[in-house]
Amino acid sequence: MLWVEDLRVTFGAGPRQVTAVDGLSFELEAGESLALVGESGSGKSVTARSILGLTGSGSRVSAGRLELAGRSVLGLKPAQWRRIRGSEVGLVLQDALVSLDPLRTIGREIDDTLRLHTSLTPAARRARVIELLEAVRMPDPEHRIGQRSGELSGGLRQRALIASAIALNPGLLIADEPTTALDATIQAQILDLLGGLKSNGTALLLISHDLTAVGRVADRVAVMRAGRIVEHGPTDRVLGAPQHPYTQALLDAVPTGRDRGERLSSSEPVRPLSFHPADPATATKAPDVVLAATGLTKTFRLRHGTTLTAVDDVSLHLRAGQTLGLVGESGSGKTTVARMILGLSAPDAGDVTLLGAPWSTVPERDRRSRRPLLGAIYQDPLSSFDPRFTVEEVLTDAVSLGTSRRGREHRARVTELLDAVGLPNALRGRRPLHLSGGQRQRVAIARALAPGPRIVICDEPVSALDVSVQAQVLDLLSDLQKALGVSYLFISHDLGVVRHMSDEVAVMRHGRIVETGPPERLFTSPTHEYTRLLVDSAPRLQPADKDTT
Amino acid sequence: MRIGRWVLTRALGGIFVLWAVATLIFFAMRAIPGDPAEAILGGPGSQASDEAITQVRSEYGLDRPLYEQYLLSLGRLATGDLGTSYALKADVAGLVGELFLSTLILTVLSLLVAWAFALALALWATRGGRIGRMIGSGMEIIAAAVPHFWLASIFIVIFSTALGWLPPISTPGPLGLVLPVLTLAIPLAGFLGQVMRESLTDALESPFVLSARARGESETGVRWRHAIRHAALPAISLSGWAFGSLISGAVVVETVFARPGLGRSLLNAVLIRDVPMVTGVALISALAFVLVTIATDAIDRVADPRLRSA
Repeated sequence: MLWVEDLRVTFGAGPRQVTAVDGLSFELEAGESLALVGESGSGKSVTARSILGLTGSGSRVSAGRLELAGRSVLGLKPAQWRRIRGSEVGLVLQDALVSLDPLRTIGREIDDTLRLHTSLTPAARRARVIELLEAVRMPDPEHRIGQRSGELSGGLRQRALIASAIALNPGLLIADEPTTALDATIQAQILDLLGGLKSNGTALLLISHDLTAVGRVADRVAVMRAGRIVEHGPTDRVLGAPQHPYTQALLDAVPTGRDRGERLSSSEPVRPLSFHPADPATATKAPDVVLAATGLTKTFRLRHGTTLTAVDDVSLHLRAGQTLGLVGESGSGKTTVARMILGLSAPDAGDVTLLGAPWSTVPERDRRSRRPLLGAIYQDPLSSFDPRFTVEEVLTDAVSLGTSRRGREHRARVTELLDAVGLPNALRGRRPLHLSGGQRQRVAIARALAPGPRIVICDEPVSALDVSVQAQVLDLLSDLQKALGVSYLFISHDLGVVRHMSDEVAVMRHGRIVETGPPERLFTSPTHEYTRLLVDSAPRLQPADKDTT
Repeated sequence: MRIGRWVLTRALGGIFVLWAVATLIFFAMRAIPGDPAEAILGGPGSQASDEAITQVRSEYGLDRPLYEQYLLSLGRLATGDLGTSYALKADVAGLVGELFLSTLILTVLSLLVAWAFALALALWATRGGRIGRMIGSGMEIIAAAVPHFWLASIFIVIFSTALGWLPPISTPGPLGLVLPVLTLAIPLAGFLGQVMRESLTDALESPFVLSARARGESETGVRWRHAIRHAALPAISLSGWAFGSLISGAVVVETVFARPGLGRSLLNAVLIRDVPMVTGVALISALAFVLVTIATDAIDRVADPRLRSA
């Protein structure tokens, strides 16, 4: 179906030329599925686009062989490419919210493929669109056909996007991170849908950064790094018995099924930070429960006069030096809980106590002096930094609690913090925009630790990171906890990450906590049916799991 | 239900704007030094007798306290009575209505021409790669920076004096409209073009355009079926503001091309302190501005379905 030999893609020219894909070869047969796996910048998306002739202006594609259904597609004219796109190759991108035109109905988007390549009448095309929506198991297609991507849930709009790509039964379907923005249960459904297409004879090229996600449908896995394939073989073999050290490192970085305390990356443990607790008196005589939330409830008023109970009677207890994992899918109310604990939004009912003293019930004026006890780390650190500040200014601001940005003492403390999060001192003059994702998250951690907090609220702290970087950041958080004795409230949608990090886990759904317990028990013998559903649909490395469980 | 509420809030907002304009004009005209009664009698040069001035004062209610005059004038305006022009001794509503039509034709045509220029420039610039984009943005900056009076003079010199193609003053008929419309449209096209080119560039780089290309959509199809709607949205929102700036631009253009219209009458009325005329022109311009703003909001909601659910 697809035959790629010695594919090279370069961007730019002269000394600034960048080679994105560097001598790639693979083939793919009808009814077979190959997963191209790699971290961001490895050239996997560029590879996918070169098969469609969509690498964009300023790119140069060359290959010993680039054949689609037995025909070379090298050097095709634009009009010839357009005949192939959509009819012989379909493309499914990440997150249909932006991959389907938000101003057009999904019906028209799917119809486009038919309109461009067939001479069917509008009525016949409409019938076919409904058929397609049924094929991707969209409920109530007659009604959905007039809706836009913004009106659909993440899973439903991804189904619509798939429908638009398979409208003409293309022999090859390329899915570029098709499940990355989705919750685990939805992710499993979409992967099963793609797997079903494969059994109908479609060749499936799956592009992903997530080794655990591809195991569900891929027959073969090719691991990419810096534009080359470093390892290629049957899925079971590559995931179960990797030959190449890079594959091994990637697999080691996956936290799923790995015990608490086990290191995920090869990075050295950080040097312990000389720690200044915000309140020395409480530090020596720490109560067992540092943070307690009781009966937290938050209701939002929506349009049309309806209300949404985002958080419903949630109680949590965070113990000194421990990690409480809060897991749930998007919209389950995790972040609203975090905001109430941070005192950024007032609960409608219930209260929060901090080190045994009232917290959520007292006015902000009385809370301010105790704010240094609480730190916070968010998913997207970049937007939480003032873009004009350098790393040093960000940290000095936090160290001095916003009072001043000068002083030798502050400077020494910043050096110490950078050291503690494993950042070279040379980065202190840079602005966050010019740092990598992992470096930014390290700066965010340093900032959270700067005032010497007893508790750090981590809201999806590693969700935006590549798996190897995620491993380093998780290791760093564990090291810092060991050295400083801080407690973490660790919020994530990723079961593997939560399980690896937590001493105790609470599972949230529709604003309620459905089950609480130690991770080993919760994940091996869940009592609530929702926890069981989560555990079952969580992507895992099937072969690797056998060793640890 | 939601549409009804939307219309109601917009209408109330519009009435508030008109009240504010009437109030502002009333007090501003009082703040100008000089006696309004004298202005009614033909200005300071008319050497009106004291008796005549006293008579005019009581006739026009100028001897009453200020707040009473204010309330009286608001009351008259509320019933649609714009009063009688001091200078022309004619009904202001009739005078303004006639002039308004002429200005409306000028501004609406200019808005349409500006849209056409801006769209053509944006489409061309995003096709031409890096060089096209540079030329496009250069032309936009120059167009946006050119002042109306200068552009008008240059056009007259080139097209009337040197080439003799078009009349230097705005004669009745379509030929007389060409230069005034171009003068108003070109600087606005520069502004709109900048906004459109930027949003068009963003839209063309977005994932849904990649999806469309992967379905086999042509470059023309990608632009007309997808990108252009995204590019038009911010420009539609800007058009309400643009219409307001066109009305104020009309003051200059109507004066330079000696074209009858609201702008030129406003200038004359302010100079001779014709209070009812100034108020009438200001109110009708404000009303037009309010209506156009509501219209652009409505078009926005039609063009962007996301606004309707939000």
